[in-house]
Amino acid sequence: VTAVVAMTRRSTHRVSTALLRLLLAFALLAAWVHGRADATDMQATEYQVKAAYLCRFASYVDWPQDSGGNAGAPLVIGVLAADSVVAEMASIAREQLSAGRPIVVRRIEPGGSFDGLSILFIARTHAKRTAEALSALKGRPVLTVTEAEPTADVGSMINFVLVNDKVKFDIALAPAGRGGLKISARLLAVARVVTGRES
Amino acid sequence: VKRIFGGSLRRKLLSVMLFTTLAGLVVALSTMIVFDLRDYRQGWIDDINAHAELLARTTAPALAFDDVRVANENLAVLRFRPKVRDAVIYNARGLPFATYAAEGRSTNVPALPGPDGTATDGRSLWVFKRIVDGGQILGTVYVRADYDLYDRMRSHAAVALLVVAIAMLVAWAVSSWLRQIVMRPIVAISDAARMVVEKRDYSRRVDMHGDDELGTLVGAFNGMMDEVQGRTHALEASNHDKILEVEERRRAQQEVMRLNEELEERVRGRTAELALATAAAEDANRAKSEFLSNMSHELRTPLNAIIGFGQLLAAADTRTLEPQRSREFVSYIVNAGRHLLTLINDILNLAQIEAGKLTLSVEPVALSDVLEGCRVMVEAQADKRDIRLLFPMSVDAIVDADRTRLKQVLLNLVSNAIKYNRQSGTVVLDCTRTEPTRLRISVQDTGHGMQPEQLRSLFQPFNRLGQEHGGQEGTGIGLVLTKHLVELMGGSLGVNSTPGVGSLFWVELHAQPPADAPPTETRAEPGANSVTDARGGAADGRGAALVLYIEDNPASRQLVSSALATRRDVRLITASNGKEGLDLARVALPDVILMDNNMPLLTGGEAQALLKADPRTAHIPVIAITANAMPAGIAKGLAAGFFRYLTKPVDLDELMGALDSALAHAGVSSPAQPSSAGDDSTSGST
Repeated sequence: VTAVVAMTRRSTHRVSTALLRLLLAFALLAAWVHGRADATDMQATEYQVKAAYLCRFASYVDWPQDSGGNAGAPLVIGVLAADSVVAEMASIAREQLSAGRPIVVRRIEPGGSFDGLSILFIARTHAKRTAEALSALKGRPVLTVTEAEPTADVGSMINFVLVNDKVKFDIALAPAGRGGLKISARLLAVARVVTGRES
Repeated sequence: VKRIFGGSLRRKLLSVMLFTTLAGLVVALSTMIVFDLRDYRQGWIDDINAHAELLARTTAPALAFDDVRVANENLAVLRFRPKVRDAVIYNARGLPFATYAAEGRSTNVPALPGPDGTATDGRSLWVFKRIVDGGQILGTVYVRADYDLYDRMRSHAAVALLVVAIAMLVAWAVSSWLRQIVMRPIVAISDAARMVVEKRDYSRRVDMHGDDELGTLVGAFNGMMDEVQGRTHALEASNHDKILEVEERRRAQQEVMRLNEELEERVRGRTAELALATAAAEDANRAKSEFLSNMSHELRTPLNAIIGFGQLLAAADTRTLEPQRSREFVSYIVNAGRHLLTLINDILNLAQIEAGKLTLSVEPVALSDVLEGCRVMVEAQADKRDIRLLFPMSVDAIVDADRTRLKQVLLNLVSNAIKYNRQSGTVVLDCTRTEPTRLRISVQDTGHGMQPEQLRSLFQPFNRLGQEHGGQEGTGIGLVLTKHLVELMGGSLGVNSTPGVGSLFWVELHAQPPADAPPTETRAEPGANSVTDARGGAADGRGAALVLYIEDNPASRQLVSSALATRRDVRLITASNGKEGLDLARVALPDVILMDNNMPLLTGGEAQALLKADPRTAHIPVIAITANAMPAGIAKGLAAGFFRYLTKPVDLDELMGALDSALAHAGVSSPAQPSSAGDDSTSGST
């Protein structure tokens, strides 16, 4: 802004006062917009990131052919979390596409069915339902994602961890293999820890 | 271009070759380089784009899950591509997410990603590539790599230059080799042609190589040279022939000219010979004519005396004529007759000698007898001219000779010595032995002597050495006859003469060896000094006409004196030669002059001319009395102004008639008298 003003000042000799004011107004507007964007970015919540990650996992995971509906059908992500989290995630997911398929976030009610799901996210708050869900989905082609402690092997396929306030994840290949899922090596490359690797 | 392609054909060929090679190389190399650079550029762009794409895909998960470490790891793979200078991964918000910089390279990356695409700035090539995954733009990858197009161009250019250089070298080598093939015959032809032009050496040939166009050219050239050489040879041969022909013609011409000159020379020689022969013939003819004239004169002179004195005797009254005078007249007649006889004998002798019919009887002859006889015979003659004769006192030599002929020889010599001596001269006869058997008789006179040229013609017949008109009697054959006679007697005759001193004639004869040597004395012979009296006889009549008679011959003078002695009206004076007569005429101024023609010192003609020229004597009529009876002489004499022209022998009547008419012409009254000889009138001299 100072530069613009200086520049404007240099132009004062020839430019009318009205134009100067107009330019000043634009400059102020631009500065406001920029500042707001920074604020939004900084305020991005953990679950927003995780929602985005969940959506992106779909690009690196191959589901068996006979599961998950046909092409063009929305990818369904089941979420076991608080409602706010679900809502936040749903808003994120609405903006995402996975291989051209729309993504749908579905809240899993307690005791609810896991059918039609491609991905199941179990939030920290619903950890007590992890075992139940995992056992229910055992052998089924559903990517199971948890956010348990890294040391606690809960048996999920992907487990979010926070490292230095950044969202990272571990991948366990054994459950994925049991579920008939193939996780891309590219995804493995960015995982914090990959367990169950052969050899 | 003109300079480059100028010069020799060799250089032109080389230039063509090199330029062709160069052009081909440039086009080919340029095309190659251009295509190579294009391929390089396209390949490099594709390569970098591929890298970018690969990076985009590999870094997509890192971006998606915000893993900078993995992104950096992914970028670190680029270290295996040293040409990649920088690489940046931007996140979806356009912020640099991960960066890579080649070692030692400054990192100067754009803060914001640009639009997708490839761009170059000459030194580097960069690519922006969106990272899209799952339909979402995750970010942008930026790769910047070296773009060494210029380096490549430079290296290409260097290689191209090297290639061009090598190619040119190879082309030059190849062209040199090709030139050898192509140029050698041409150079050979060119050299041969130059040699032909410079040295006219048409014998040069060019070696044949192959049967291509050059071979054909060489063949044609050699054929042309054959033709030229042949024609040149023919021309030279023709020229040579022509030169020879010209030379031959020139020689022939010279020969003709030489022959002509010889011919002319011969003609000149012949002409000269002819002229000489003609002159000789004319001389001989003239000599013969003169001889006849002289002979006529000599024969007439004694006849003159004979007839004249005969007439006088016939006309004289025998009673009145004194017996002494009669005898005198008769002796004149006899002498003249003898002289005539001598003359005739001489002529006959000469004719005999020349015909080779004269025979001599050679016998020992006592020389003294012969000398004595001679002396007696010539004394009278010597006396007439007051000449002393000196003879040896006693000569006892005996010579082998014909007596008569010896006497004749000696008489002739002595007579000549007297005749051609000067007045009151001396004649010396001497006898000496040159050898015991050789006697020389010499006769020396004190006359005028003779010139050498006169000596040479001394012994020619009929030649009187200019004495033809002299007063001395002679036939011109006496000496010739003498010489012949001496030689017939086995002797020899010679003469020495000194002009103005005298002449010495000598005769050498074979002599008997002397019994002893008597002293040879010279006896002085007192000559009868009977000087011719120029005075005429006593002139008894004072009124008588004066007549001068100039005559060298005493007999003629005596005859005329005697004839005119009978005439009282005429007084005669005489002179014995022309000079004397001229002087006398000028002094005495005679009324009439009678003149002989053939006289010493002054001929009658000359004397008459002088008289005519002298006013004192011009009027005096002159009557010629001459032995020259030739009609031409008569006409000439009359033309010269002679009053009358009488020829010897003189007819006395005719003489008197002429004298009378001359006297009448001179205006002297003279009674006509019968031309009879008077009795007592004498004008005396011998």
